[in-house]
Amino acid sequence: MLVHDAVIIGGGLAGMRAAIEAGKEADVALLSKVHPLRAHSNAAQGGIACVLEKDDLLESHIYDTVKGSDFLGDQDAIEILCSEAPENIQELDRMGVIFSRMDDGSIAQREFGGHSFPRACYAADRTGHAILHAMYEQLLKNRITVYPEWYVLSLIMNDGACCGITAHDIGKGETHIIRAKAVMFATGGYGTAYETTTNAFANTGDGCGIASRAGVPLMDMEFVQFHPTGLYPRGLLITEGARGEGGILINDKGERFMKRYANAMELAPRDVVVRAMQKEMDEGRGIGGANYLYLDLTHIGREKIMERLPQIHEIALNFAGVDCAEEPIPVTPSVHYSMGGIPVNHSGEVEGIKGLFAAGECSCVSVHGANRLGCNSLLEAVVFGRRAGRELSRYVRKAKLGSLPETDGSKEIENILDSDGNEKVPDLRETLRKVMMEKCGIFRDRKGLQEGLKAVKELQKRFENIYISDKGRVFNTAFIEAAELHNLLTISEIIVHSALVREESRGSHTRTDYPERDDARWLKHTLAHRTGDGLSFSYRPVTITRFHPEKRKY
Amino acid sequence: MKIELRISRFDPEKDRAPYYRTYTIDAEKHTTVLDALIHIKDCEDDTLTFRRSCRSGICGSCAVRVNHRACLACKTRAMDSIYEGCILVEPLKNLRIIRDLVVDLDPFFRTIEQVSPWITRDCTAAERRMYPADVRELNKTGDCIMCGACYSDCNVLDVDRKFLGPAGLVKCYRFVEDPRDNLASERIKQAIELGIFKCPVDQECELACPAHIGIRRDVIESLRHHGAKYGIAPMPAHRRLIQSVLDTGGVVPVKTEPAIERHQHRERSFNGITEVYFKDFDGEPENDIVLFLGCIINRRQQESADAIINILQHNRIAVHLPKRQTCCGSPFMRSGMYENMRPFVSQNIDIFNSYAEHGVRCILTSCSGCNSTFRHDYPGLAVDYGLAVNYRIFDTGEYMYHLLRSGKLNEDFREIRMSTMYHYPCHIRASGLEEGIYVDLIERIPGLVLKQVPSSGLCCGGGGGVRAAYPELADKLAIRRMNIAQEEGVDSLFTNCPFCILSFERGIKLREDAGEALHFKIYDFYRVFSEAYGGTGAGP
Ligand SMILES: Cc1cc2nc3c(=O)[nH]c(=O)nc-3n(C[C@H](O)[C@H](O)[C@H](O)COP(=O)(O)OP(=O)(O)OC[C@H]3O[C@@H](n4cnc5c(N)ncnc54)[C@H](O)[C@@H]3O)c2cc1C
Ligand code: SF4
Ligand code: SF4
Ligand code: FES
Repeated sequence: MLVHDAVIIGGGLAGMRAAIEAGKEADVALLSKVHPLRAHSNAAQGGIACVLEKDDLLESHIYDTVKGSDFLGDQDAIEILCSEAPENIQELDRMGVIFSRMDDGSIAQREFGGHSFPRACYAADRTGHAILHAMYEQLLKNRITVYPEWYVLSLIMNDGACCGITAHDIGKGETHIIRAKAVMFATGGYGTAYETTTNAFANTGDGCGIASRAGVPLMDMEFVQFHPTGLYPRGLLITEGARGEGGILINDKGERFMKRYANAMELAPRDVVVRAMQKEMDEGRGIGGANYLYLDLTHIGREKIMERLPQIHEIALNFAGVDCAEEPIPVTPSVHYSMGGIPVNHSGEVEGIKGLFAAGECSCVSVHGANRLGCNSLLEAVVFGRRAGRELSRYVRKAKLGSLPETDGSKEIENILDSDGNEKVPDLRETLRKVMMEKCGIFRDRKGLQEGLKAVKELQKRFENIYISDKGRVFNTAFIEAAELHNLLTISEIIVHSALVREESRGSHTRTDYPERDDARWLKHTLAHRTGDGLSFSYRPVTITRFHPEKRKY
Repeated sequence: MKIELRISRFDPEKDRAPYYRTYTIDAEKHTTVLDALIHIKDCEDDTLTFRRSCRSGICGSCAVRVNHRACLACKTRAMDSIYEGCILVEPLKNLRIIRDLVVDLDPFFRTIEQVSPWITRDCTAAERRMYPADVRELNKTGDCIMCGACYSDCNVLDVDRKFLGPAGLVKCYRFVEDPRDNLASERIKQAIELGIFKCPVDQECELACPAHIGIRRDVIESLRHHGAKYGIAPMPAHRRLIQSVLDTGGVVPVKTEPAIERHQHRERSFNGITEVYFKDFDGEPENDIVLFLGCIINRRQQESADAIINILQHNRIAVHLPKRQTCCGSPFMRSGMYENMRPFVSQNIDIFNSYAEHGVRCILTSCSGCNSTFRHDYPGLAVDYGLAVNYRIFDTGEYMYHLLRSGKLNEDFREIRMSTMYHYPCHIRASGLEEGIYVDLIERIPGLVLKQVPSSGLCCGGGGGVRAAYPELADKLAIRRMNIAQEEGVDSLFTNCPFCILSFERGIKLREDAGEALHFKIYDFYRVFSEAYGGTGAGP
């Protein structure tokens, strides 16, 4: 049996940052179903927010974030996020991140939606890639134990405390129990629950799914962020940075329609832009009547595009055959980010469960509330990854290894491999993704959500009857896909049900049957608990320190 | 449209060796190879195993080989990858296959770890200041996504696993260039130990690299150049070559009479330029050209020089052979000793410009190495040295191809019966000249049949100074190349680079000396053409 002080699940930015911090004083191991260099933090293009300029104010970053969150973000957490940003950015610079620079040698910053000052530090349009690779270098430097291509199947709990995990070594096809004093989730988002997404195939919400099945409530899962500019039809991200550099949105009539929706035009927060786009398309002004619009960069000029947005140029060319220096890019809203997740305190601890931690996109601190501002999530991953890492090492110094209950580590894999039903993983998954898109998308209502919930539950039933023909052990990706589908089904139910319960419109959650924000009833966080075969809900107040909810205008 | 994929399959629990299975799917214009693989896995065969995650070319998971070249499946369009009716999909080379298209990348990741890929000093905020130009330099390597494509297609790694490999060198250079780090000379020393001079700069890695990293020039040659600046490069063998250039104007010493000295009676002065002049036909020439021989052909392969002149005469092209032509400077460039090359480069540019002044603007090279130096390195150097460039550079074969295209090539060839394979030299490729140019030309000779395989991993071992510093490695590469041809059922190679020819001939001789004759022949492109015109060389 493998034993470590702490195991961190997830090799993205949050997981690696935590591992480096915790690894200074404790024996930590990092497990990741894809090699750490392949984590989806790689795909972040636009930037990482931070107040660096003396004309910019910390206060302003905090306020922008609170307002962006539609006042659902916890203001004490947001204050930490913004005030610890500068030291974290300096640290990234020390670690070797290749940030783009100004002529005077300082770190360059650009405009980003919802931020009232150009405060996005960036590395061309490969910010996530630049930070992730530098972080991996630090992981090597600090000699952290890594289990690459290990898929975590479940948490092992004993008496309300977490005492280990079961994990599957994909390459060898062996399942192991790993004992640890503490476990931390940093498993990222779940974009693949939706048909159109900017996320990678690996973003299947495993951490949230596993935690929920282990009895951890999930917070604010109804808040699903759509990104305005997913490349049509694949959904691949065209960074907001493209609008930051001057890109404009155009409908079928050639009209810059954002002028009818927000003074900030294309740089209004994502939820605002996405609703405007969906409305345009619903009213028949999509390009040729179809479900997409144009993002026009042609006036920016080839030279600037190649310098600042080279990856966008390449993505549009490769995946849509569009040379964006000459033609507009077809775009459509695409599921991008999960505001909700495993509820944690400011040190990444899951309250009520000893030895369980979370950070990054799979967690909910909550700094993003009902709508995340661009560039705040890379920041969250490093700031709270570091904090969680610190607390983790503090915790394991005091804690003892918990005694392990009787567990059969390979039960899940045996169940799936032995199941001889007739349901295929890809069929269920593609059906689920359509259901989520149609019933729990940008505009929601009771009827649709009820239908959606019913459909997801049916899919869960059908999952019990799954069949995969790959019975091999070594690198069995059919099995992994089945296990991932299991998690997608678990969290989809929570997303839809939480959305059904919240009878108001706030941030990314827009109920056409409850079009207004309702602070009297709903200025609170949703907590969805798994009970038998359904969910029950409880609520937690929002921490408000200095900014009282007001109407959001952009 | 229906397309066919031929996919390499291997299940370690069932199969002894990889085999191929063919699948047919419907594809559209933008369908990628990854889409196709996913479609097969979802709809036809869930045991098909491959890696993927981001589907947008940034995570580096999905590197495979398509039609013999490593690439990202998610960035490769299926429609553009159909070769002889199907798309061949195989796992990366040089790495152990775990299952189907999944390889064990550990040895690859270890090469990255070897170069201590992190900033070693803890700088102050002031020391961390970097300027846009620094960042531009760093981004040349910082964009690497560690996909392993270059590792797969690297020629040297195939015969020498101690070589660090391209991605490791990319990572090394990323830190050499970083103003926040201060271990540049140690890092370069390590790069030399780990084989930076083992690389024949054939650029196979660069062709595969999805991040468009200029591995050869921006990394390998830059590292060599930095090494020279620190006085720790090049290697002693290269210093000897450089000395030979400084002393004699060429990397190979004179043994037999150089081609340029063999036509004393043709010597004359052309507007003050001393030259050897060939115009053995009646009437006005179709064109006048300057021929630049290069030291290998001039001193070792004189018959090729004569053959080229003969070919040009048969096409009514007057040939000017300037006597003052000197080393092209490639040995300096390839070994990193840029500082010493100026007199050579200036002299050549000066000669070319003098001809241009008198109406002779076409400069033909017979050596592909000189050609690529003139094309890639001279324009920048000319700017550095404040010289104008008024001439145009052609490879002689390329020039023949232009004649062919414009209907002016004399195609009065006699039959030459043979079946062979064209070896496409990396320097020709580096000059931006496509393999098809030469294949088309060769196929004009009646009776001559070519058997081509998609070119990849086909290095003669002769480039980049490898033969000087690591002769055994060069020999291994040459023999490997010939073995690949033999596996395709061909016993000869047909090529137009003097380095390739030297390398192969040496490989053949080595095998003979060892009592294991290869039964292999090397044909010189120009000599075969000259023969097809019924002559063997220029007249006296
Ligand atoms: C296309 C795109 C662009 C973005 N651009 C920006 C931007 O410009 N600025 C910004 O601030 N934010 C951006 N974001 C959001 C931001 O990138 C992510 O929120 C953040 O990177 C998440 O980091 P993470 O470490 O939480 O998760 P990830 O980087 O997704 O890492 C998750 C890790 O968990 C592992 N894992 C998951 N499940 C398991 C399991 N069962 N067993 C073992 N390991 C597992 C995975 O292998 C992976 O290593 C963008 C997001 C996307 C999708
Ligand atoms: S140029 Fe050739 S030998 Fe050198 S690193 Fe690249 S592939 Fe390997
Ligand atoms: S250098 Fe290019 S081919 Fe090699 S690992 Fe990096 S991105 Fe891939
Ligand atoms: S799937 Fe990420 S690079 Fe192809």
